[in-house]
This record gives sequence, structure tokens and C-alpha cells, in this order.
Amino acid sequence: MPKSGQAWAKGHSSRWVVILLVASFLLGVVTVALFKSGRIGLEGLGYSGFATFLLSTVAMFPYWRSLDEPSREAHKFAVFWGLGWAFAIVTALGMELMFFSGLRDFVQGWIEGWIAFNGGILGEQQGAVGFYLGILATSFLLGAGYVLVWIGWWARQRMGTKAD
Amino acid sequence: MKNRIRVLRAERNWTQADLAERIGVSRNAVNSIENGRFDPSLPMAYRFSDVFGLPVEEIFPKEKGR
Repeated sequence: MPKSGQAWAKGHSSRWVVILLVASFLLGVVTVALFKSGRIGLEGLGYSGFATFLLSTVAMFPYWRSLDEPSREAHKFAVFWGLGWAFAIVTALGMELMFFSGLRDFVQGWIEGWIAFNGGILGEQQGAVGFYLGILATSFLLGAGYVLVWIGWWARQRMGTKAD
Repeated sequence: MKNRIRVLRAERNWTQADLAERIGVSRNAVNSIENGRFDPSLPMAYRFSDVFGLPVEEIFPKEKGR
């Protein structure tokens, strides 16, 4: 039976995701433990994040190669609609934050609480911490939009379909 | 897009997994295409053609009015 490149890779896509998740998790656990014990500073956290970014970027290539046509279509659909809508929501939320003092006060309190919760370690430069939290929140919302639409795409594919 | 994959598969006693293995895609992909939820690209349509030994238009017949 002829085997295409995709056929060779088929079934390995989830393996790449699992490897990436486990590696990122282990790296995160080790980094946080080292940070809490005082062996590394904030730079260490940054290097760890950068390593995770590099790992993700490298893993994307074999992962993409391992996807078949509908799986790639699901990702393209999720980029357009999931990221698109999430970006619009993030922008609207940002505008709300700027123009509605009630929400602004709530977020300000939340950030201050977060900094206090972390023992003031990150609080030396509160502006930078706020910026970092903003990026984290934006990434989370964009990621959530992407994942929701991606799941929706697959759910729609499976609805009312017969398998054997 | 209309297709005759289910019939052609049944004639050969192939499961979706069997066909998926031959085409080089996942079983989910075959399921989606067979049920008309996903239209395959031309290269994939040709892979179906090779596997079934039939012209593409016999597997994916043209719908009236299209």
C-alpha cells in the first residue's frame, strides 16, 4: 500500500502535542521551584518562558506535517474566526477598561491583589507587571477563542455523522 | 459535495479505517468527507480515485445545477 508523507505522519500529531505539553509543564514546575527557592531570579522565569516558546515553535513543524487535510482546515478556520472574534472582544474590553471607571477600578484592584499575593517579588516595577499581566490576559483570551472555535469545528463535523 | 464513497467502500467491504489507511488520512477525515461535511482538495480527490480505481467524477459526481 503506498504511503504518502501524511500517511507516515498520521497518528503522530497528538504525540507532538503531548510531548510539548509534558515538556512545558515539567519546565514550568522546575522553574517555579527554582524561583521559589531563590536559586534563580526573574530572569530565570523569562528564560524558561522563552525556552517554552522555542519548544512550541519547533514542535509546530512536525505537528503541522502530521495533520491531514480536515485537521489543517480546522486550524485555519479557528485562526480566522476564533482569533478574529477574540481579538475584537479583547479590543472592546480594552476600550471598556479605558472609559469605564468601575471596571478600571476592579482591574486595578485585581492587579494589586495579584502583586500582593506574590509577596511583592514581582511588584518592584508595578507598571511592567501590569503590562505583563495584560499580555497574559490577552494571550489567554485569544487562545480561548481559538480553542473554542476549533472544538466547535470538530463538533460540527461529527454531528449527525455515521461512522463504522 | 455529493459523493459515492460509502457505496464504493461497502462494495469492497472496507471500513472507514481501512479506507483512511489507504488514502493516508485519519478515519475522522474519511467520515467527514463521506458525510459531505468536508470537501476534499483536488489532490485528495485524486487519491480517492487511485484507491478506488475510478475517475474522480464517478466518486464525486457533479450535482445538478452546479
